[in-house]
Amino acid sequence: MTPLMLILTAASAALPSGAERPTVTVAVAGPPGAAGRIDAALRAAPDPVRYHAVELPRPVPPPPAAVPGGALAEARQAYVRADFGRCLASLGGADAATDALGGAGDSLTASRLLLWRAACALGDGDPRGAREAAESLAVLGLPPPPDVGSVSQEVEALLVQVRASPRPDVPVRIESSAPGAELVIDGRPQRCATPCTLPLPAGAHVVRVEADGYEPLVRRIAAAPPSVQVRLDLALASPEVAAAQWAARYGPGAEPDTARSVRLLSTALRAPRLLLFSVDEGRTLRVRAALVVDGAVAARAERVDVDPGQLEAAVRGLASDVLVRGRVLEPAPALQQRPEFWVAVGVAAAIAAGTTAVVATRIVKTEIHF
Amino acid sequence: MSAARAGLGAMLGMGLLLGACVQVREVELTFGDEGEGLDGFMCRDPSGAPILTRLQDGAGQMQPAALVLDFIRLGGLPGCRSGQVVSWCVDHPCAPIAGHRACVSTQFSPVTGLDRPQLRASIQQTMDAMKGTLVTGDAPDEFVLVRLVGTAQSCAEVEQRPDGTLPPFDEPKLVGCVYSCPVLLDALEKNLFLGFDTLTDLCEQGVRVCAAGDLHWQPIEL
Repeated sequence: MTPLMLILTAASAALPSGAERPTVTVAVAGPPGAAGRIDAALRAAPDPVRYHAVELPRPVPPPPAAVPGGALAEARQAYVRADFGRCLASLGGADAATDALGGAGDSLTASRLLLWRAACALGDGDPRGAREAAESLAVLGLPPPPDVGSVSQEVEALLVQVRASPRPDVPVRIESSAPGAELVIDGRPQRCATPCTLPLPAGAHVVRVEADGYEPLVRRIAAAPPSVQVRLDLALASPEVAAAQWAARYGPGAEPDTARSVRLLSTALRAPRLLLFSVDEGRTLRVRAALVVDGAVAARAERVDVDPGQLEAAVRGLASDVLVRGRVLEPAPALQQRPEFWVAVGVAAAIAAGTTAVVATRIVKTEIHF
Repeated sequence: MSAARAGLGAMLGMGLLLGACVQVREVELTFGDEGEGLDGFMCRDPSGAPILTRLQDGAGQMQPAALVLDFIRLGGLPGCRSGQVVSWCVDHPCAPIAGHRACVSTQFSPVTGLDRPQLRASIQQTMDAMKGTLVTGDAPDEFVLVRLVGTAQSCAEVEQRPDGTLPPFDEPKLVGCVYSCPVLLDALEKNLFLGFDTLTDLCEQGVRVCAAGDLHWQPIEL
C-alpha cells in the first residue's frame, strides 16, 4: 500500500511541460490581517508558481487647483484699487478658466476667473476682452459666482446682456479610441458615453474624456454651426494613472473583483497574471478569487461559510482551482495516467502474489542422514 | 525513488517471509532392524570372495570406503522391485541427478572368514557407527530412486566433474550397492529403507547393474 499512498499524496497540479515557474501577483481586498495570512498561506502552498504579494492602490489626493485661491484674491484687491492691469496679470492667461474646468473640473474657480477677467478688462478699457470673458461664462453655462456682487453695475449689466443673447445649439459628435469613454463637458459629467452626439451652445468648450485604462484627455473645441465632429485618441494609461483610477472607482466600499476592476488593477499593478482575493467578513468568511491573465478574467472561484481559522486552507484551494482553470497550471493527470501509479500497482501485485505463493506453497528442504 | 525503495523493502520482506516459511525435514537412511537391507554389501564375486574384500590392501588391512549417495531420476514411476526398475530403465533416461551426488567416507571391519550372519552384523555395525552423519542437506523434490554405492574409490575420484557430469564407478572397486523404492523425499513420512533384491550371495553382477549410471544390465566381463 505504501507505493500507492506515495502516489496519492503527490502534487495535485503541475506546470505545462517545459515551462518555467510563472510569477503570479497576489492582491487582497479584505479586513486587516487577511492579506498577511493569505500571503503566508500561498508561500507554503506546493503550487509550482512564485506568488508575489502586493498592496492594492490607495486613493490619490486631488491635484492642486490650476489657479491658486491667492491669485483670485490678489486680482480682486487690484480691482478694488482700480489697478486693472495688475488684476488681469493676476488672473493668468485667457485659457486659465478652461484649464480649471478641464483639469479638476473646478467650475467655481473657472466662473470666478471669467467674472474678474470681464470686470478688470472693462475697467482697463477693453470692452472686447470683457465681452469675450462674459461670452465664455455664458457659453460654458457657468453660474455667476458669489462674488458677482463685488463688481460694478456695468459689469453686471454686461453679464446679463451677454447671457440673454440668443445662442444656437450646435450638434457635436464626440468619438474616442476607447469606446464607452465617459465625457465631462465644461466641467459637467455627461450621461452619454462615446461615441456620443450632444447639443452644445455655439462657442468654445472644454471636453474631458475618461476611460478605465486610458490616460484622461482634455481638449478645447469650438462648437460652430452647423455641426462638429471630434475624434479623440486616448493613450493607454500608465500604471500610476491606472492605480489612481482604480482607487477612485473600486476602492473601499466597491466590488473590487468585477471584470473592469480586475482588468484595471492588472494594469495598475503591472501584473500580467493577477490573482485577486476578496474576503468578506461575517460570522464566517466568504472568500472569492479572480485570476486575470493579460487583462482578461481567466477564472473565478468562491468559497462560502469558511471558518475564520480555515482561511489558509480555503485560499490554497482557491488558488489551485483558478490557476488550473486559468491554464497557468495544468491539472494533475488522472491517477491511472501516471506511470508511478502502475509501478506502484505492479509492486503491490507482486507483493500480493509473492505472499500468496509463500502462504500457499511451503518450501520444504529434506536432509538425509544415516 | 520512494517507489523503488518501497519495492526493495517489499522484496526484503518477502525474502524474510520465505526464510521463515522453509520447512526442514529429516530423513534417515535405514537398512532394516536386522540389517536385511544390507544384502547389496554382502555379495560375493564368482570366486566366492565377498566383494568387501576389495577394500583390503596387500597387507590385508581394510582401506576406507566411499559411500556415494545418488538420486536417480527415473522419468516416471516404475515399480519397486529390481526387475521392474531395470526393465523401466531400458527405455527411460534413468540417470543420477548431477549436482546432488553426496559422498561420505567410512571404514569397514575386516570380513575375511566371516560367515553370512557375522558379515551382516559387521556391516550393520559399520553403518550404525555412521548414524546421524548428514549425507545431503537438500534432496531433490521429485520422484527419485535413492541409491547408495560402496566403492574402494575415494570420494575425490567419484565427485562431480567440473563439466557437470558424474564419473562412472570403477566396477572392479565396487564393494556394495543398495537402493530405495521410487520415492518423493519431501513428502516422505518415515525413514527411507534401502535394500537389494537378491536370492543368492553371488550377486556381484547385480551390484554392477545397481551402480551403473543408467541402471542397465551389463554382462560380467570374465
